[in-house]
Amino acid sequence: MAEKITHSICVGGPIAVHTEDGVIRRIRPIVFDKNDPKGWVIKARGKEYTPNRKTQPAFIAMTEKNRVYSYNRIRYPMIREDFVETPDGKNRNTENRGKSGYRRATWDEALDLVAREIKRIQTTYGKEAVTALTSSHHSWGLLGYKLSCFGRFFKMLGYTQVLDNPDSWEGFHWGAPHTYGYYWRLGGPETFDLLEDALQNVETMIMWSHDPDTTRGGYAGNESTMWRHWLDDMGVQFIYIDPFNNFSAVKQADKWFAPRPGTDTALCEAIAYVWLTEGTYDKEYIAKHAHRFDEWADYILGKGADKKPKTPKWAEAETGIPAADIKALARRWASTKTMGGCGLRGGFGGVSRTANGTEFSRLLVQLFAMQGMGKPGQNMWTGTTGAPMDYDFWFGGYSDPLSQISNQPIADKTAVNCVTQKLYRPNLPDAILNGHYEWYGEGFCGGGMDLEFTRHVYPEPGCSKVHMFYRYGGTFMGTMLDTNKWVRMYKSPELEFVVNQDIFFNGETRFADVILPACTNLERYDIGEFCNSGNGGYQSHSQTGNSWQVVVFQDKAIEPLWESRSDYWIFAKLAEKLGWGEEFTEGRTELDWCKRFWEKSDLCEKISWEEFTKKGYYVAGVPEDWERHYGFRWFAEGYPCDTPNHKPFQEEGKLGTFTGKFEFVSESLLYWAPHDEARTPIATYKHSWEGHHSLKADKYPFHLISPHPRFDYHTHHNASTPWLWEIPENRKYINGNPYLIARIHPKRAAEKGIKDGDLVLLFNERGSVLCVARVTYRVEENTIHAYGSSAIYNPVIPGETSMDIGGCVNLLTPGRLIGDMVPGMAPNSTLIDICKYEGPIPEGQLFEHKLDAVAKDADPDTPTCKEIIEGRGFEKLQAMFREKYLKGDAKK
Amino acid sequence: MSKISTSNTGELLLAMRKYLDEFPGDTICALQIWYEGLGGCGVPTPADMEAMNAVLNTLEDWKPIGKVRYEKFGAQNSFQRVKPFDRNKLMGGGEQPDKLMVQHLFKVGGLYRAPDNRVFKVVLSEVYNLRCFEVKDGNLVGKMIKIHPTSDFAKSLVEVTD
Repeated sequence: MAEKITHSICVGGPIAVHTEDGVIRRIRPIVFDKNDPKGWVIKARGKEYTPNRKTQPAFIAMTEKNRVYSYNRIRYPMIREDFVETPDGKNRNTENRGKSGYRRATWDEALDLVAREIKRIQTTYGKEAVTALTSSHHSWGLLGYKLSCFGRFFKMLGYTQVLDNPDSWEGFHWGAPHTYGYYWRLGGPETFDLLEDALQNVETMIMWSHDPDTTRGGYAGNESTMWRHWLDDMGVQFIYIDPFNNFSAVKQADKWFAPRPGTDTALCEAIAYVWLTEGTYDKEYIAKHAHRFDEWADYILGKGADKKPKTPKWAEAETGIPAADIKALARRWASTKTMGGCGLRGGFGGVSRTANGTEFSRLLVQLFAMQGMGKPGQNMWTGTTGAPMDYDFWFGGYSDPLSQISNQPIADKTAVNCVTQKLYRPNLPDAILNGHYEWYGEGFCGGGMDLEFTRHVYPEPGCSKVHMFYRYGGTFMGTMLDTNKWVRMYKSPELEFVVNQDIFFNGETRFADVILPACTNLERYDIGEFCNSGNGGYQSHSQTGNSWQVVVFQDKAIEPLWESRSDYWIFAKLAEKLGWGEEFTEGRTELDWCKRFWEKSDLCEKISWEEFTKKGYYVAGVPEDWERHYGFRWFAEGYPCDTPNHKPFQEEGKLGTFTGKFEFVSESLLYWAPHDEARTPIATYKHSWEGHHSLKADKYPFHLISPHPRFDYHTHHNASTPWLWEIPENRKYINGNPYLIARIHPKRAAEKGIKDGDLVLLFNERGSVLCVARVTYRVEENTIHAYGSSAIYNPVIPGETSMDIGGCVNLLTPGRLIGDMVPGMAPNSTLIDICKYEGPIPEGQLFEHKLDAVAKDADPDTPTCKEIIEGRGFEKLQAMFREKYLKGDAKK
Repeated sequence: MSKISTSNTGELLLAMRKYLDEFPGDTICALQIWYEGLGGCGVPTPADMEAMNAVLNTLEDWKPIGKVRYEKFGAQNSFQRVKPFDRNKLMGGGEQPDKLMVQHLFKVGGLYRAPDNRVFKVVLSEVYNLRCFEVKDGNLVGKMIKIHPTSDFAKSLVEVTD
């Protein structure tokens, strides 16, 4: 028995993979050896703090073994059973997408068909008639990432690009830049070196709509968990504000405030009211750094147009939080050194994904400005980023144009998309179904505030509509909104051809005409840095969410299972069939490309390629006397910006707003969007278009909040990792299906006759989802909490907009965007009702037979999906692969 | 409205002159002057814009260059300094002064020529090092090069403006 240890990274963090006889046996964190550098040491309040000498991935990373051998792996290329390759693209039984089964195809057959259809559609309609779209994170690695090999292929092909929306932090993206700039950080604050600042100075942490143990600093695993323990141990008070007493709050909160969903903006205004009336804000700082503060203060005090003082009593009526508590919160905040923010990296919390999300985000920044943001212990920082880092070492992140195989210097030639037409992700179904769609904004507007106001029309004048959709990884049923419209889109004959390239047979995969099986990143080569999302119009230096800067050679632990192949292999083959294979690969293998990333970064100066690939990872140390560049300190103290990720105006000591100051009346909104009703020049609390003041609330009295999931990452783990279904707070496995947990307050549960563990139906006019009730005081009375991003989507009538048993609560969320000029999503502005479910319970997940049929046809001995889920089939699969390895691969 | 009346040409000229003398960039538009130099509140009226552009047109050390895109303001009629701003002046003489980032002497995306005629493109600017690639025939080639902005080599680089 030969054991091999390789390394990789997934969205949960870096891992070491133990393989025996060609089978993955164990996944564990990477433990550093004596040759790796020392950790940083922060001296604070008489103690020294240093990180553990290992990576600390999230628990989802530890389930990668279960995921690799998952029941819902796509094993073979497949073609929809009733797909007919008609020469004109008509009469292809598109209405059966989602219902039909599949037949196994060879790679050549499937790729020939895809190549023929690409050629036919682009010849008939034009290059722009093909569109393609990835999930946010197919898997980790600079080669396999969407902006890399996917980007290279489609830019070379020419296609209608689908613009992503910042679906995790909409309000901060579309709102906060109008108060403090930072559009190039997509609305998020800069948090450089703030861990040390916090350890040395902070007394109170405001964790607003923030569950760091769940959202894990983005891709930073559990690296920052220890930091928050340190703060806790030194007596820092943690105040959590969230309608759900979340998983971080239950173990750490000194005080939990539970505002009614969508009313947080009113709470911000009331805090400001207390500070203004009691004079407990930093007047000197505001006099120097704020623009039009007095007009804003007049509004808060009731001297503005609405003549309504934003008193704690007024806010109590909206938020449900007692006025006395609001006053206490405001006074604690003002009288102690306070840091905080909203969600991971300071600006990602669920409240930013409400109808009032932009206004909340702007007000939150204004509150921190009022207390002297940037001074020691006073900042926007939420305990998840800002670790010491050696800024003298550079390795690219996935959004860095310098770190993509579609661009120089990694490629010899940069690939350029010849099509200018665009689509917008949340509204892709609307555009396809209606044949026309208009919106404002470039999606991610890191390239300029002006990009928020770019007007787009689909189809672009003179351009064709889209007739082919190439989907790659993940499932938007669980991450976009009102997602039954995606079902309707797939059934439209407008889409003459649909391809899905994925690892797993996800909810959305089942609507494709051709399915191409990709392998996991444990079955291919790649290279990447832990939690580095890059600097390309993104939130740079995200790797400061880690205690260590770790670059990993993502070695192949096992050969691709069944007939799956790497994404790069699939695109290279397809390019070859389209006649430009050599141009696509530039003659490079996957390993050659990985080496390019090493060669074109600082990594090549630190470690040889041979040593790096042998050891599997490189840890960049932090110099003992590292120079500090505290976020915002430059602005507070009035000198040119000394933090990385700067803009020219910061060199003069200015923020990225029109005036260079904190704008309490936004000049950029007055200039760009003076009539925008969602974002007024003064950020104000506005009643949600779907909230407790809506007429609809009579019929659907509960607010559904569906935050980012604790037991998943986007849609990449839960569906394919049955181990996670054994966690009682996640799902309950009943009759072959893992039902999602939905949380309800005991008082409201009693009114509805619901008991803990009952099957309950969550419903509104957009759909219905069957869940299992968890009756708990951890939710605000008017709130139903059920995690969003369900990877599992199992409608009881496959292919129809019917009741879902997979927990895909995004079927219930509104498709309406935040505002006419704010193209952000607001899933946490959803009204629903709930009832006990006493109807029939379906058998299984309702789709496994499609996979089983193809699998059994190829190998009658293979275990079924249900057998794999329930364990015995999982063991059998591993035994089969071991046997195969010992017969063949081991001899090689 | 602004703190300075745009209808008083003399006052406006003085205020704009003062702002522009200290402005560390080479390209400017009336909108930026309005918000940063004149303390403007609200969107300037067409008359305000006309008055500011009229003053800019009279300044000998600034020339009109048509529309330029600004990340904050979008495309604006713009003016360029006839003689580039001496950024060393801002940085206190070119040495690394306290709390000033000498790397700001170089533009990300800018091209710089070395004495041996090699041309480098600045692709990144972290805290200390500029990161560049050599440009040959329009292509980025070779390894990533780190250049400390206070090094002799950095001082020898000349911006390629054509």
